[in-house]
Amino acid sequence: MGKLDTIFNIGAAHEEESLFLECVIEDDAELLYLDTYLTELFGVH
Amino acid sequence: MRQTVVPSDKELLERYRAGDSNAISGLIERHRKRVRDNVYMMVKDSDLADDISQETFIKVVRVIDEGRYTDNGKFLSWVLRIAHNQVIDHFRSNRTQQTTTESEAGYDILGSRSLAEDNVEDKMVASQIEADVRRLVEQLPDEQKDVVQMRYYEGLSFKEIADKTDVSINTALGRMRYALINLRKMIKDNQIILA
Repeated sequence: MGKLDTIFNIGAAHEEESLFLECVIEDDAELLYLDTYLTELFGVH
Repeated sequence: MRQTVVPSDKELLERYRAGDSNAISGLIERHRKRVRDNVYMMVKDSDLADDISQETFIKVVRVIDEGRYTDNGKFLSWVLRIAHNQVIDHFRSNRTQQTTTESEAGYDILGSRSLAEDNVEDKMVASQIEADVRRLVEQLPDEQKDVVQMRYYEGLSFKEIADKTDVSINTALGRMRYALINLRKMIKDNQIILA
């Protein structure tokens, strides 16, 4: 996967979220839970 | 490569309140999958997860429309909390009929506690767990710790993290994945139960 060419609209953030789920979480339920836990713990998104 | 400015959740909320209905659609779409996947992990039923996720966002929009939501940079946390409460309500309303406990339904990932009322003891335990997790973050390799801190503490996008650390987005995403994998291992090795 090379450099991303993102678009100036609301879809850009949605694209990054999809990328995060695809490349970082990779359908790992535990990692998703951990990410959610850390999101709530530190509270910034 | 075209540069992009990704509107923050706060900016989208402001646009919605100013009359841009597309903004709320974008905001919901941005977090829809994350919310739905989290609900699914708890209920282990695809149709139920869809229903609860939809109820969650209906409630989110209603609260915003009624002017009862004050943004403090924690929109996703707020939405996830609503989703969790919707799941709790579902279990409670179906308690006499359900044939599985919350634990059996799968809500025990990483040893997390079953759905229960918060009490003083729970709050103290949660506070200790938070301190423990923060300590573990500090033990990550520097590159991974930086990504975690920029992601969770500062709320930066991966594009911003990549720019700030002068790496590709691929590398930033990879560091994030390894950070989560390492945190998971440290949590299990330290027998920490996430509340």
